[in-house]
Amino acid sequence: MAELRGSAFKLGAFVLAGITVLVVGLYLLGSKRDLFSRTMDVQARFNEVSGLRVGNNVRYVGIDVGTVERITILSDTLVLVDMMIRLDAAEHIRSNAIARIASDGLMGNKLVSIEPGDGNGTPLTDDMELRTGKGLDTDAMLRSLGRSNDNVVVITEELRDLTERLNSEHGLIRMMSDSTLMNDVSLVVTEIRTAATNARLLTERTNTIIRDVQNGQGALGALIGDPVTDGQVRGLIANLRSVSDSLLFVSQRLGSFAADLDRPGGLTHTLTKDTTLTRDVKRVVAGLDTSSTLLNEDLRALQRNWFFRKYFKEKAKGKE
Amino acid sequence: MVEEEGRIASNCNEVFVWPHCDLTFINSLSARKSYFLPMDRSDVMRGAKAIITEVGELVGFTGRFFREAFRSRFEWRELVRQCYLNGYRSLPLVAITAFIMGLVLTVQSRPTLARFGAETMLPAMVAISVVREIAPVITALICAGKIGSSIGAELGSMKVTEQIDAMEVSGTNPFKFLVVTRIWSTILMLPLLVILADAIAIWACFIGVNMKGAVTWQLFQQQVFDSLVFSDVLPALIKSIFFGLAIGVVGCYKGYNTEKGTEGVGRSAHSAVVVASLVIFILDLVAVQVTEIMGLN
Repeated sequence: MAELRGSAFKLGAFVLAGITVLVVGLYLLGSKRDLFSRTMDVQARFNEVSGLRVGNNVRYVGIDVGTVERITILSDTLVLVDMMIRLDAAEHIRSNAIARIASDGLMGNKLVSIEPGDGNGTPLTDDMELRTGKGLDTDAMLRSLGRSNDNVVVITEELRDLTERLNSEHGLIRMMSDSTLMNDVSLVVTEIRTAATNARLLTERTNTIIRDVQNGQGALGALIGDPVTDGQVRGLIANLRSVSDSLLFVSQRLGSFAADLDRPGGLTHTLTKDTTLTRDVKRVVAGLDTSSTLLNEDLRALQRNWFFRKYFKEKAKGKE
Repeated sequence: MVEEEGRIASNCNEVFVWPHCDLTFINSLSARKSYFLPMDRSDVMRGAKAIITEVGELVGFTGRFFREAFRSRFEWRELVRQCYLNGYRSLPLVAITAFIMGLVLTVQSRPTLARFGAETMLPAMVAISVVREIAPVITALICAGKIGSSIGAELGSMKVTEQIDAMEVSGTNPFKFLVVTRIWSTILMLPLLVILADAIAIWACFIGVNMKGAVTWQLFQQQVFDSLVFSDVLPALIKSIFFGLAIGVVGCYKGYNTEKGTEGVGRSAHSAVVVASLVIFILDLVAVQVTEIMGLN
């Protein structure tokens, strides 16, 4: 008997647990479908409902406030959607609110999304009809996505071509993998860096010089900036101009003189162009040569003369 | 196998004479001749006839149950005992299976959903799968194995030991006492087991979701109950009532009609499991079609 009671207790606990789970589950399901809350019926007319079904959620500013209660086709372009909205939420919805067909995420269920309208509206009442707006058109999105996809295909192909060209035998990637070339490039870069450093230094020096010159420092600065030196330089330039004029005059005189020399009968003309003079000069030179030879003989004879011998001997000793 | 007494075919081509054979052994072999010889048209016809006959008897047995089920006097105490044995005692096995089922389903589904960036749909997907199909069918199959075989073996033992005949002689209605109570117990207990299996599997799903993520229980149960509707729960519960009926009826029928001694008891237990499992799948198929026709899918 005790065993039977124990079994009955366990069975009772088991059955109660099962029934409790069932009741709680059904209550939660019912509360999600607003079965246990006070509701208000509102309506909206759509041109198309994009797969909306009875039981789908109704959202106001992103919060679940009710469910779709009934969908009725009124005409070939008009569908009436009856919605059940919780009273506590309905008091915040105004008559100028706009209902749209939306989707719960990209893959989620369809739903009716109610958004506040512009301006002030009256509070929502039972069986009121809401204005409707165009919802998010998934088909249009997909069409746009298809076009984007086509563009992506084209871009991808061009990128592939570019990559192939870069990776070809003479492409940039192959060149980059060439160690010799890379060393050369590295050297060039180093030299460019050095040149840049030098250029920078040069620029700095130039700036310094220009600054010094502008400040009147150094010879050039003094030359440019000092008014006394400026006057002296101007005087010097005037003197140079005077000297230049004198030199011009002298050169003109020399030219005239040279022209006189070169004129027939002149000294230069006679020396260079007169053949008679040349012949005479040659004869004189030949006579001088003969005379010189004869004179040498006479001198050697004179050396041997007893009268002058002593003199030449002393002279020879003096040379030694 | 046996062409005639004393002649045994070891296979289709070879026939030899067994001069010192035991007639009982040969008779037992003859019952299994279809295992060894190719079936001809008469065998197929005989098999089909046997199946149709068994189906007819099963339907008749079910009809008898419904006639007796609502007729007084009820064996309440035996019903409670059977509910305890078939329901409460099956809970640990069902609970462990449901827990593993929910956890494995979650862990296995996650990579596929993650590929589509839809991991947040995991609770909803597992909940719908478990509540609509997996929990009722798996629980029914477990019960078919545990309860069906138990009922088949128990009633079969009573039948071959003539305890059922003794009950009839003593003025007790054995069908009402043994069969009706057992079938009612399976009808009542299976939906409860399915509900608890649903809850345990969803809880296991929560653990599975949190193994590689962080979802609060509040958000999890919101996602679960947002995805579920009455048309998910009620057809599954109604289906599980029919599964319970099938397990009870098949187990009791097999046990109640046990023949051929202790060997028959084992065969009854075995065939109770097989037939009950088959009936469960057929009922599931029918249930899917009915819910589809009624627009509940």
